[in-house]
Amino acid sequence: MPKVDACIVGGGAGGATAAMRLAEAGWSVVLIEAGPHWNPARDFINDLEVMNKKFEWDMPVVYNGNPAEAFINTRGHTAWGVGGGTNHWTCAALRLHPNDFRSKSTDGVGADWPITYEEMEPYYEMAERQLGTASPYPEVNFPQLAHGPMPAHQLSYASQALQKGCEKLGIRSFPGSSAVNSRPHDGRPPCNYCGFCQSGCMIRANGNALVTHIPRAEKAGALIRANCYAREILLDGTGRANSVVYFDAQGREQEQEAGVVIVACYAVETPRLLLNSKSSLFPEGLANRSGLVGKNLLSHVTLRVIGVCEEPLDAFRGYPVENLLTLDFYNTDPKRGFARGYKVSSEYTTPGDFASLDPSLWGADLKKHAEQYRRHVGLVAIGEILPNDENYVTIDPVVKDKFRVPAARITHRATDRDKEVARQESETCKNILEAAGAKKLFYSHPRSGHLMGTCRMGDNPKSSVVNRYSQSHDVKNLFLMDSSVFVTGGSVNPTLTIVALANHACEHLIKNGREL
Amino acid sequence: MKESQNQKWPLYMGRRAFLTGAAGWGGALAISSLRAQTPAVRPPDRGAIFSSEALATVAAIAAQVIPRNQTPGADDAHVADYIERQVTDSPRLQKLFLTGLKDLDDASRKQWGRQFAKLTPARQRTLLQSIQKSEFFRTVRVLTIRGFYNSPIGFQSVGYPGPGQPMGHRDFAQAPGSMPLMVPTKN
Repeated sequence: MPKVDACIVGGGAGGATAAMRLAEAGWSVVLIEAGPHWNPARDFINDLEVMNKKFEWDMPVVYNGNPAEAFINTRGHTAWGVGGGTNHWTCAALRLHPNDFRSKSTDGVGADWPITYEEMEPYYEMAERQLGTASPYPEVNFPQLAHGPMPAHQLSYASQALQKGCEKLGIRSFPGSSAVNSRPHDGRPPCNYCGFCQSGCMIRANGNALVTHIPRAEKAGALIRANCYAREILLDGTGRANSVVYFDAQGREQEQEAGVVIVACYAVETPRLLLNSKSSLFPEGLANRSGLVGKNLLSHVTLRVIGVCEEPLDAFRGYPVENLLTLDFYNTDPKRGFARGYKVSSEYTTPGDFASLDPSLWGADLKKHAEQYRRHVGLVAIGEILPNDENYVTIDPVVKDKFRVPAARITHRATDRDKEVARQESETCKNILEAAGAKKLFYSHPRSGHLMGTCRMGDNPKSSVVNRYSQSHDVKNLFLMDSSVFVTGGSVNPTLTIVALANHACEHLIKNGREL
Repeated sequence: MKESQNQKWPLYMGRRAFLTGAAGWGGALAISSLRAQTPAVRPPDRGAIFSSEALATVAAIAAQVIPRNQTPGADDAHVADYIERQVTDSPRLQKLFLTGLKDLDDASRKQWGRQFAKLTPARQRTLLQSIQKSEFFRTVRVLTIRGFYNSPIGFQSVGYPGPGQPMGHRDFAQAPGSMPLMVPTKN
């Protein structure tokens, strides 16, 4: 394939941002995405089961441990297709807190980022405009909240019930900051509150990179190659990344040469691609002189509590996650007995998920339980998991995918501290739900799909994989633009930070020219 | 592909082998007559993988998980067909169902002298209670719930109006029923 200025591997939030920014700066760009190029109006329907199947990754991942006890999604993947995880994200668009960038300095745990909140702020604002966030800022002022560009959504009837519960307990709660249009924005319509963000938004009202970034990238000339699956990155004689080898939609092997290679395949597949790209220069995997590629896998302690109230609330109306948010538990509180914290927000569910909440029920009792569906409310808590040597991604020695590329292998264990976070999260959710009038409660096992941190950024090449511009310390024209560069994960959903970091990295690239 | 699956899972060979031999409507009619227990005739090209006996057993378990009482049950939403589709797509489920169904019917024959689907509902419940901790039963239970409560009949039974698009829920901030439902008008 003719050489281009930049070849991006992965079409999710990070890769799509890179394609858009670089193409709009006049670069020739090719983006390689393993999944298909969805058309929201044609391919998305209000059916979680059908859509989960469509969005499921078509490749193996090995989980090293007992999946039933894992605190993470052991598949290690988000959604399949151009747009990546933003195809099915719940659109919670929060910034990391200033303390999240310096947890080592403030709380003595985790690690400090090489950049600060203040340096990131302009890039967060860019990300918010690009994805289109609706936020209660400035009426509500927390550093995690997006700054516009749209006003916050109204609270749904069910969220109002939860807010009353928070008020009784003296907990400050407010509408979340979400990448869902609250008015027409960027040529896309406002949300009509169908409640199916996670099935893909067929009316394009939410911040899916597929409809926010990709059209702009294509308009500026970027080539989006869907159904193309990268196998490895090759080097030239001088130790610079030269090309990406991939299998095209017909399964034929292709090689794309590029001046700059950007990897944006999420925190499991990015280290997998690097570790699978071995050469005499990098026998332990590309850009891995630090030995840290795949290390420090981060996640969240995410658990859900569903309650049943006495009156119908019809919580299925309105957008299903983080319509109501509280950040009162976010920062470290010595009384809790662990460093760092969590956030709590509303989350509602479907009839099928509601019916299966109590695993002991079947027969007439099950039907009686399911019939309470219109009276349910729910909360989800997301808490920080600290970087830890025992959580990592490696290459599995046995399992290979259909192209015979070795699969990733995830090792992640919940520590006693993480279990304590989960316990206190359930306690808080229980208190709020009971104050809101819920009688019967159902608790989920903690499980998170937010994976981060496997190629962390830092100033020191010995203790990090990339620098503050997401540029490899070892290979100067190799950039990583996804959650793998996170140093810590805070207690917020990672997407907004991924897009902000990608904007930050792209500005550095644009300023420094096509040949770094 | 289906043929090789059948060779791998001989329990389910029956109707599929028959279907490939029988042509068009003849095959369809033969199948529907085998399925006297479900109310509607189903399309003939659904890629059957269960034998008719296996399908009857699955339908009987599903009907115990979500029985028809004052409101509709699993049978009314053709949950057994849904389960068959899920099993067809998953080698893991095929393995689980192969042994799970056989064990259940064997136990039924040993205890009562007939296949599970032909037992009285009370006896079916007794037998299911004895395996309710097993992975097989838990899986059928979850699949039944998914199939039923993701169907229009299941939605109706819990008072859920169904997927929100294309109208959405513009009354989302009000108490249920305080705004008239928006319905599409002609032209």
